[in-house]
Amino acid sequence: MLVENIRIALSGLLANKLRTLLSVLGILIGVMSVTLLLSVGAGASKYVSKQVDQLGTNTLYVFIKDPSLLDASASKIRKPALTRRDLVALESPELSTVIQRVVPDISSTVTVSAARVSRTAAVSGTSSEWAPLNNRNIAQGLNFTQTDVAQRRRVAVIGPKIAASLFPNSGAIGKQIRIGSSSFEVIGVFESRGGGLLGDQDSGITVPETAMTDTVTGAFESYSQIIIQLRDGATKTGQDKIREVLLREHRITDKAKADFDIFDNAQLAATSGTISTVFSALLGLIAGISLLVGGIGVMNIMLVTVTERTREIGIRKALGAKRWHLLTQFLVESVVLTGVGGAIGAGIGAGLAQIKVGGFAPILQPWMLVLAMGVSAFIGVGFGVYPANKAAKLRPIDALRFE
Amino acid sequence: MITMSPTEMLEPETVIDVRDLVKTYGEGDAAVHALAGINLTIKRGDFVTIMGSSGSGKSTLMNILGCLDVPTSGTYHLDGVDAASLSEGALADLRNAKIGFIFQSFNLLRRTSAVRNVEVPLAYAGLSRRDRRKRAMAALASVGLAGREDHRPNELSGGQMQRVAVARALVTDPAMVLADEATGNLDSKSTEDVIRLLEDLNVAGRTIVWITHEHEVARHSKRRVVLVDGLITVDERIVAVDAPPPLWKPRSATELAVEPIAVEVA
Repeated sequence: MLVENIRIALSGLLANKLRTLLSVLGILIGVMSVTLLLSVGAGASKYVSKQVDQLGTNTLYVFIKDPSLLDASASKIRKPALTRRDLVALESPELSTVIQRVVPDISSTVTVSAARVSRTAAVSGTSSEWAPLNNRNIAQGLNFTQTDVAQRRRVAVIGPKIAASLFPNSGAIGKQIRIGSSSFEVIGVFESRGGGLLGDQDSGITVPETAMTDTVTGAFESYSQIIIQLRDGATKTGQDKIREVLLREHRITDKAKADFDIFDNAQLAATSGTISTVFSALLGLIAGISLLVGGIGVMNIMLVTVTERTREIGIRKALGAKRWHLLTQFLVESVVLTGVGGAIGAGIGAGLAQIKVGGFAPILQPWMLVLAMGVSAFIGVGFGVYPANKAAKLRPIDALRFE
Repeated sequence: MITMSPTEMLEPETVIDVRDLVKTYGEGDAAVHALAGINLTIKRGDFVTIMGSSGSGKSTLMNILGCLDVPTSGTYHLDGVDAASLSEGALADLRNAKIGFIFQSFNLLRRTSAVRNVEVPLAYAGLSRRDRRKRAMAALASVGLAGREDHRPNELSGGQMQRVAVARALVTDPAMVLADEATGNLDSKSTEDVIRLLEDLNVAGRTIVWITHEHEVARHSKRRVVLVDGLITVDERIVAVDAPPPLWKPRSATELAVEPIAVEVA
């Protein structure tokens, strides 16, 4: 008899093709939009946190303290400075588990000119690792290499803004610019970063540290800062280990008397965390609203269908159908409708989620399909069976007379 | 399915036994007494027309006789079983096994072929697909619709739809066929067809209770009951229960599409 009820349900679905089609469509659209919205939300969230990560939340900056703040007795022993020795110590295997990159930085603000244009710019003498550490891509030309550093070549990679201001009418690659009083060849232009949490990043110039000391700062004295990129997950332990090594290098036993400071991007990390939280909440909200919308669509079509079919229920009851016959019939119908509609909707949703929108790709995860189909199946079956049960409880004559 | 205690057993040939049946709609001053105390006994094999103007309570009586509605008070025994004592499920079985309905508005399932419509009560009776199809086809043939099994209601005329409904009513071999204004929506030719079908059914031993306001129908019955304001005012026997209907004529071989139904479905 159960098999018979299933057969009755299926032939009912086939007999009422338009109604079946509309029900399937309602569920399909519900599931599709939930899937799509969830994956777009997840994609957007990932995109934003990636943007934040680009700013380098796992980056440390080592500075020498302002001498006036230092204990006078300490400064007599040794003039505080960040030297190549420090750099070598930081690159030791001892720290390789926590440190990914160590980059020296000799910064200076100098006059930069080309042809008739001249302006001031922040110039960094550094290593070839500066660009990857700061997540900077080269838009045109190339970054300089460690060979350039070793051979003290006078080459420069410049920001897109300064490139545009020095060479307004032509490309910058291969051109000569003057940094201070020396001539450098532009070999690369950075990709634009735009304004961000770190301010203008498009007007800087990087050159090999050796070329910097040869031309701008004169004989090597000390680094302005050492930039360290930690390995993922080493933020906490990394900072302590680095402090330990530098204290040893600087022969300081008392931690409180350290002649250097380590700055991290704690602020940025906190911001990143906040953004993630906001996005998770937003994602939840989107999921909730789209499930509601999809659910109401499914609910409506099921309610309309069952109301329209109260007369059929009356006829079947008059002919000897019991309540469980009718419930099984409507249950099977609802399951088939939500199953077919859900599967097609999930398919289309998953397909559309492959399309990039606004520079980021939606991220489709299995749980989204499960949630979308689960909720619409639940609502579809619920609102298919609940009113059917109500109609099945009516006296046959009331169901027959129902208009 | 339906069990009877010996005390509930009535005279075997009594199909319908109604005592002091009252049906009231609404409450207090607004109460309408659709049935104000009906006593009615119908024997097996009878052909009864229940007549009355609209509002006389005849449809209410028909709904209660068909176990589609319940009375406010009074008792109703169908084939010896007290309808009030039955659960909802048992009532469904009762309707399925004992009663064949023919409605004024046909009440066929839309977008469902004639044969499938006729099969519906058999499906709820638990018959196998093969038996169902066989019996439904035979029933359709007996109402002269052989060859139209796959037509849907919207592809059939009113008379044909009502004949599908007649086939559906008799396919379960019920104790009683209840017809509610069965010819109310039909032209005179179709009306005649349906009357003839029910006459044939009666001759084959089926009890017929026909609610109607058409005197033409009543002329064909063995007994005429008239309802006025919820009470029986006339109960007139035209011919004996075991006699054929008064205007029934045996069909010639060419006229008779098939054997009478009872032979097919017994």
